[in-house]
Amino acid sequence: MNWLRKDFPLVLTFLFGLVVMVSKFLNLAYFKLPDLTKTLDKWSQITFAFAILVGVINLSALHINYIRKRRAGYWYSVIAMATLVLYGTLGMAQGPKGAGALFIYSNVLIPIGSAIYALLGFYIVSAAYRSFHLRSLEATVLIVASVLLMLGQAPIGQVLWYDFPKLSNWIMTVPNSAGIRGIQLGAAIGAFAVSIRILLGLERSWFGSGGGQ
Amino acid sequence: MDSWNKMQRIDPRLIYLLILLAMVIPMFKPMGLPVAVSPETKTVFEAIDSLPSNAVIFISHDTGPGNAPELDPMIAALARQAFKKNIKLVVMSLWEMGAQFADDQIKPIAAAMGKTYGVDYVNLGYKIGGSMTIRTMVNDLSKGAAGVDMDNKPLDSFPLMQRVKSLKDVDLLFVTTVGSPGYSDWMTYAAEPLKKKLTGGASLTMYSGLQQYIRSGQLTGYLGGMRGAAEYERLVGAPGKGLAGMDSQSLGHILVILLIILGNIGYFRSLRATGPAGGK
Amino acid sequence: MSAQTGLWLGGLVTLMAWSYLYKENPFFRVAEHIYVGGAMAYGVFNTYYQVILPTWQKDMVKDGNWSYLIPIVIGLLIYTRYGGRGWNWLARWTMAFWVGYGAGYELAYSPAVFMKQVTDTFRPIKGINDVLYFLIVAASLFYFLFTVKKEGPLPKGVAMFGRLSMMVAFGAAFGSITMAYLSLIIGRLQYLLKDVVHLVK
Repeated sequence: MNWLRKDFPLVLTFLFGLVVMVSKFLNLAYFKLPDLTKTLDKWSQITFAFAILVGVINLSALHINYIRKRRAGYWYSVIAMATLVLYGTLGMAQGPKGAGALFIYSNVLIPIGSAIYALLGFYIVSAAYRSFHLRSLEATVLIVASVLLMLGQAPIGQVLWYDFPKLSNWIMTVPNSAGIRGIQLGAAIGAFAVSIRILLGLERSWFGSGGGQ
Repeated sequence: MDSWNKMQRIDPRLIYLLILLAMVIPMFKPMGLPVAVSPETKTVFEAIDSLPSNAVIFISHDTGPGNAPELDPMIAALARQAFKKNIKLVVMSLWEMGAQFADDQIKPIAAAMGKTYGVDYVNLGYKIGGSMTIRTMVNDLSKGAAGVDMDNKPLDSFPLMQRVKSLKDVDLLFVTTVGSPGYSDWMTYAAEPLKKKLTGGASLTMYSGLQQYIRSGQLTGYLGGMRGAAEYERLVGAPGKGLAGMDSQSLGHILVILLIILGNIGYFRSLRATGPAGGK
Repeated sequence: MSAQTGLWLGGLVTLMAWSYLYKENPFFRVAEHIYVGGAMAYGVFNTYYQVILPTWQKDMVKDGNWSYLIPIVIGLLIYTRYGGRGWNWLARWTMAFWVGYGAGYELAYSPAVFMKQVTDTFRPIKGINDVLYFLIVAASLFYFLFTVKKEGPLPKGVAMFGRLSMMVAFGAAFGSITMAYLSLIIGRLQYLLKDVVHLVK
């Protein structure tokens, strides 16, 4: 039985990876072989859909734990859980386009989500004031580049100097673009290597607790 | 402690207040500053403009609520440009909430321009599965969409979907993007293997990181954030929320730059007071 | 409920969320937790109605694709991870499918994208920018080359040039991100002042 726990998943990983590569690099029609990826792509989508509750279970477990232990502010967890149950029930009954479900979505969920995310805007400006100091050559280059970019991208830059947009566009499309390309080429080789390690069973961090080495 | 030093320790709430003022004032007193159109935006506009009547644009509005202010205006402007040229739209999202956002943008424009759902545009809704859903749609759109649109109506009941059977049948991919899944999945799994043109718009949070693909032609131009949306609105000739936000954006940038300068003056003053070691 | 009632409600919860700027307070925490619970619920019923239900109704019952029971079982196996030591290893089979299939796609499809990035770096020189572009890509790659020791003025200089080029990229990223977040604030203000209270046209 032990091989079902430890080795079989690795064999599966290898086989599923192999299916994709065979489909990509062999002319399957020529060999009169079926293209399994056409089936497995759809399968993959279905597995994701049926795994949707994982996030809900994890987060609920966390909040229920807070409530059980009566941790400080536990009643916020009560609110989260109550919303999950009530809104979930309403949504399952009506569907996402149902009048009540859509009303809450448009007038409660979206406004809160957007507003919380927009808070970052306030923090980033305050952080720039506090920590954007010309401490070294590198910091100076970084700050000058970002200031020139901001000036060029806001319409007011163009009023100050007609060619500001051109300068900021140059920063964006030449030094920035080339620097990122260098970093990304390195990262892509890394991702490629990790994929090979996964298929060969050398990389097992995805096994989770109790698995792996 | 001199006043510069005090300013180093300023209450952040004062900065928040300044930001709010800088953004709100231009909304009441618009300055109407000029918005120059960047080459990248022009490329996007032309890619759509060069499509023949009856062509099909496939839109994936891959965004959440956070970045919608940047990306929603792009969808609205695109709908105007496309409908004006009698170009058809097939819409979906790999993000939970994106399809509804796209619907909110396109529906009123379609109604105003006399376009019919099912004939001129279809919204497939949210599709889970990221790149695997793209792969399925490369071969069979209906299979990837589980055969129905956003309202659970069968796809084969729509005239438009009779000729759009897979991603091979679309003329252009228009993807908005704020993360993963996003443009890179569409590029790797649809645009590259099918040799389709891929364009769209990105949140500015990631716009500087995709420039190299515009240069290599793997992306056909790309709109950058609210500014890109504003430029595109200008080209389409339909000012919307993008252009309306540009004056606020200008004052906001000036404020950020002033704050950086002030912060540095304070920093160097405090260095002089405490000696070079004090700064680190 | 009318559209305007909804907008008032939206305005109210927006202010609740932004009250955090003043200081941490119960209004913010309530809004935050409503969002946490609500977004989870939306995720579930939206996926149910847009993916699970049509798969069942159309693909399986109507078209008879009963083979889809296999991926359903694979998907459901992920929940064995909550089943204690006797069962939780079964969740690895689901993971094996996702990870193996994903890695296969990475290996099969990403080189096409990657190689274009490489070949585009060696494009015919039409101006100073093409030269500069090549030099920066080379220098930043060299900076990440940790297998050679960068000794002597030339290697050190090249690595430094690569480092500074990346600083320009990070500066551009910071500038862009600041702009992005400012536009999110603008988006919310447009919503509050234009859509909710109609003070701005």
